[in-house]
Amino acid sequence: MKENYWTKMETRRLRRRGFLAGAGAAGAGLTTLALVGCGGDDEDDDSDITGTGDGVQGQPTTSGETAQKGGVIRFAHTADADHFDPALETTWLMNLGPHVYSKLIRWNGAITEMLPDLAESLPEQVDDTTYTFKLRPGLKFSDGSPLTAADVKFTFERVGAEKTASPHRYKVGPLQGIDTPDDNTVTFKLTKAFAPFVSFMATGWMMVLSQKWVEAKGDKYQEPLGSGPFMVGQRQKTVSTKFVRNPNHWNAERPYADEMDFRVIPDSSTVVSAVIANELDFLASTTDKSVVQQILGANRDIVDMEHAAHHWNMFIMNCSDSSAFKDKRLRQAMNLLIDRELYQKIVHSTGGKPSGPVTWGFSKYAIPQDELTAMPGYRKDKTEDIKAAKELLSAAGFASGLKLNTATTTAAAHATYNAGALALKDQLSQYGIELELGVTDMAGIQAKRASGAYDCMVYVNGGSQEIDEHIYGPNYTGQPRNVNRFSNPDIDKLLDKQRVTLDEEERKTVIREIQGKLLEDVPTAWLADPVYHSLVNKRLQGYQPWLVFDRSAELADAWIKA
Amino acid sequence: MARSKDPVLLMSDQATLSPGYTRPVSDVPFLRRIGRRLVNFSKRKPLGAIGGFLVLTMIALALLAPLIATHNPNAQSGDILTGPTGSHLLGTDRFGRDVFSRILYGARISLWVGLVSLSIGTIAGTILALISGYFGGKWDLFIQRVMDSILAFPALVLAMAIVATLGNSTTNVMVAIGILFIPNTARVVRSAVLVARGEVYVEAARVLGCNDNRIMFRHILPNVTAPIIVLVTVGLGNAIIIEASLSFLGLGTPPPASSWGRDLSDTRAFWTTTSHLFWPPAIAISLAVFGFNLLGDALRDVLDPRLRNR
Amino acid sequence: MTRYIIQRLVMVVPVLLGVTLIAFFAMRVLPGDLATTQLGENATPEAIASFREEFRLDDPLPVQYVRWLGDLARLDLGDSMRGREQSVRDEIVSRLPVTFELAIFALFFSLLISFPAGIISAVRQDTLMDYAARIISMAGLAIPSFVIGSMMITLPAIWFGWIPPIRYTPFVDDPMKNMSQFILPGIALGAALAGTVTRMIRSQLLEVLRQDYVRTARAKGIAEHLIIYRHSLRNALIPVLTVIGLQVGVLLGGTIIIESIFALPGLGRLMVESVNLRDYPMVQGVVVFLSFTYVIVNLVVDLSYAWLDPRIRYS
Repeated sequence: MKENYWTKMETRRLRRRGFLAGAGAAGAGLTTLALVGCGGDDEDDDSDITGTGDGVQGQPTTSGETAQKGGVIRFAHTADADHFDPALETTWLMNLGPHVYSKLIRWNGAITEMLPDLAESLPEQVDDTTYTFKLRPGLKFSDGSPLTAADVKFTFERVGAEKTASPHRYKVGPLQGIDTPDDNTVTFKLTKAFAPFVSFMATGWMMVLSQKWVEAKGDKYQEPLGSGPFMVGQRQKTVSTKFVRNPNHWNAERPYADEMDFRVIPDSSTVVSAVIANELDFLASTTDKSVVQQILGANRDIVDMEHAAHHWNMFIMNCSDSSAFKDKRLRQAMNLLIDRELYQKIVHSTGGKPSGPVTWGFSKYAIPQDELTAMPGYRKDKTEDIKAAKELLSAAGFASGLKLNTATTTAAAHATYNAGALALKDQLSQYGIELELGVTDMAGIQAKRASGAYDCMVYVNGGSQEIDEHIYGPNYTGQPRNVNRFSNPDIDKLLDKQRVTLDEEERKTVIREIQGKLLEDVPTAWLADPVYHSLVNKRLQGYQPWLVFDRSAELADAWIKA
Repeated sequence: MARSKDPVLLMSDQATLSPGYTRPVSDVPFLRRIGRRLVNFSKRKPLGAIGGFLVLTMIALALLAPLIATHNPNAQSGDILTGPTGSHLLGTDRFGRDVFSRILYGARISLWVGLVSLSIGTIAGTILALISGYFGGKWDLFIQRVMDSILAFPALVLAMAIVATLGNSTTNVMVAIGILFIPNTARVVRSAVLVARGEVYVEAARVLGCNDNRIMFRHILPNVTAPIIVLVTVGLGNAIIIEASLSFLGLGTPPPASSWGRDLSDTRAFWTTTSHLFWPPAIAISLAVFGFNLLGDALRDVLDPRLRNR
Repeated sequence: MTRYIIQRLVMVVPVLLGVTLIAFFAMRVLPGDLATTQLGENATPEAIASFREEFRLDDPLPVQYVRWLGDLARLDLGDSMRGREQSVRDEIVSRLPVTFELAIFALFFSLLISFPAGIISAVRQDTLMDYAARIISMAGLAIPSFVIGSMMITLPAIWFGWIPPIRYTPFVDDPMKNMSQFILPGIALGAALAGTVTRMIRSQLLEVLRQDYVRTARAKGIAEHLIIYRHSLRNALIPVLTVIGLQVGVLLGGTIIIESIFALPGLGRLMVESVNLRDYPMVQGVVVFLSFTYVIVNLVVDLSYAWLDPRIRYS
């Protein structure tokens, strides 16, 4: 689950991409991948970026050499985690948590397959509603205490418990109970089939905690005890955190680096300067071409990697009774009028592509570009669309135009919201549609979103490697993530259906159907999503840019070239 | 000559209206007199003259913006981030908006924000100072403590809270900055009021039965205008900087307004890629603030009798 | 004199009370709350309700206010709502040295510029040197501090591939390294102040130099520099002390931007972050602390002013 906090200044998102981690992958290792690190060419044709799971461009930095152990990886973010309890956090902890915690299984960087982590293999699906994980023997937490099935049971019962009120609760599905037949076996029993189950278990927030530790420390504890590749060495909250190798990590081959040095640098320009000055080893996921050019122009040792991500820009329309947008015709008109290409040009200086209800970067499920760009609203030639939109506007009673209360923010961290709103405001004013910007800070926008006190807003959101997160929460009636209070019982039925459709191909079909229906009802006008750039210092090899918010393990697989 | 109703002024009028007394009439035309005053001022206070020139230029640009600007400052176009060209004298920004036009209209915004917020601050502060200084006693104690409370409160946080609560609009930014100016104005004007209150003519007015309001506004206020003028002049410069700082924190005048502060805050770090976006607002702000400060200093020198060069 | 002191001390109470009122209610009227900012969109209504219950945020506001005041009276600033075991007091204690050190450095650099500038421009009023001194001292005023700060970091990075130290080392660990981080931010902040302090010094000195006793001293033939330094400066500096004292107070709350740019873990950053996240106890605690400091500094300055100025001392 992504938050929109860190879509800020388009930095600091480590996106993983493209290679099979040494852990568990047979054969294919770093050494076989050629170095394609593009150096400094900012005029790259972004049509080559094909999205996740298809072999994305911008291969991880490798020189074809063998990974060495040792060295310190240095990186920074603009804020620190408030605490180390993953069940009750959704934002900054993702920059730190995955280094110190492990999961049962995890998605690989390219989102092509799931790999075993604490579990020795992917779970066995005993029947439609039962999954069994077998843990590796001899697992320990970083302090040496044993990690057993009881800890796993504790962790996920806690996430699934109503009392905990965890924002990640829906990821464990309709949980009936968790059994631990022995110390190394965990069986999850669900009340009904839940297709996303295994995939969700591999997503970022499903970190395994120590029962003893959490019970002793209580919720939202400050010091973690985990079983990840690193452990916390020194920590100066909101200043810096030093990670050191976890001697008790189940995989003795990882991490490569001895230490990681994480710093909090609140100002993104300072972060950029630090990267230029070789003080930081990478800048993750920026969509600002000026940043890319500035870094590449000033420092010859930086490699530029282009990639996609599971983030989407959308124009949310408030479907509840308090707004004009309860009228479907108005929403459809907006969808037809918006010029995605122009939006993209202004808001995403690094280029990108238009997206449907599933962002183009999630290529497994996204509507293919050739299909999408033939659809109304997405077509290059907008004459038909504009005509149809005008008719819809008249039918809805807005022939002479209308004013819309648009929520936006000017917090530096959320530049896209602002840029998007301005771009659309300009675009739509020619049709008599006035977007009146109500500017607040981020908390103010969250408040508006929660209370529904807006007509529309440009919003950026993200989803994990599991498709359910991209479509269920945002569109299902009554879900907290359904910020525009959209309700369509037919779509709800389909959303429920895809949750119980265990066959992948069938599920894909249902999801495609859902997207089609969403594009008819248009609770949201899905806009365009950018190509991201991650800038990596040559001394850091094996860095994988991130495609989703999840930061598991990729820094454990990166190594410092001495 | 108009007959005023104020007893003190009436008295002084009568004193000068005794038979045979004629008021000397200047034989130099009004405009020439003003011009001569200005020239004297410039000679004595060249820095002040420079400041005044800068301020006047800014005002002129602000007023003439609709005529001089080559484009609508908020009009987006497809020419993104271009450098200076024939049609876009200073280039364009990421929205394809013309930088030159934005700078011109930015003068309007800075001036407008400055004037309104200073007005709020000065008017409220002066009234409070008049009450506080003239009546003294409980009023003085209470008002001064409230002023102290506001002064003690970290300024930017106060402004942030005001803007975040009321919603980020130009009006609310002006209110927030205005409130920031109240305590200091009140304090400075209050000292002047205390001095004026002790003057003989105030005694006289009271003896003659003038009510307090009249005394405050007709007799004291005109005599404390000097510090007010200085406060306002320098304050206009400060208001620009505060607005820029608020923009840095995400709470300045909201887009698409072409505020110098916001434009500067957005582009401050891109030296190698879009420095053409940085220099215009940077130079504009610097010159404007410099101007106001130099002018304010010179005015202070001229108006404050203690500082005159003998 | 004692009466004056007692009067001033008594005045502190209503001022601080006023501050607590502003701090408390200003925060509560802000839209949004920590539950939504921390838990984001997936925050279920139950999660938010349980969060609000934990911190008793649904009690009537006056009740919460009085409860907080009661805690304040016992010097208990409460705990941050962002995570467990984060007492407001500990945060302030750990961050105060940073902001304080920054303020001291800023004051130092500011005085470094404004002392000579103020003296020169007063003594040589309306000459070229006066103009030069004033223009130089105002340079920092006219450019927003975040621009100067940004330049100090970005330009060296681009030109030399080097940035000034932005990793914080506590003073006790390594004094030299610690201080090296504060030099540039101190200059950036000090430059912004220099204009105001110069103006103050200049006007006070000018006023003193017009006094009769100075004229007498000149008539007596005493050397000019003696007149300035021995006779005038001291008298001029007394009110300047007021301003300097005030600047420290102002600085303590005005370091927000510089702290963000130079990655200094100070109180300013803490305040802004906490306001953005709506961490009420933290904002309230820090604001009250800073205001208290400001009031105390003000008080000390006023009292020392009263003590230094014989006209008041012997009244």
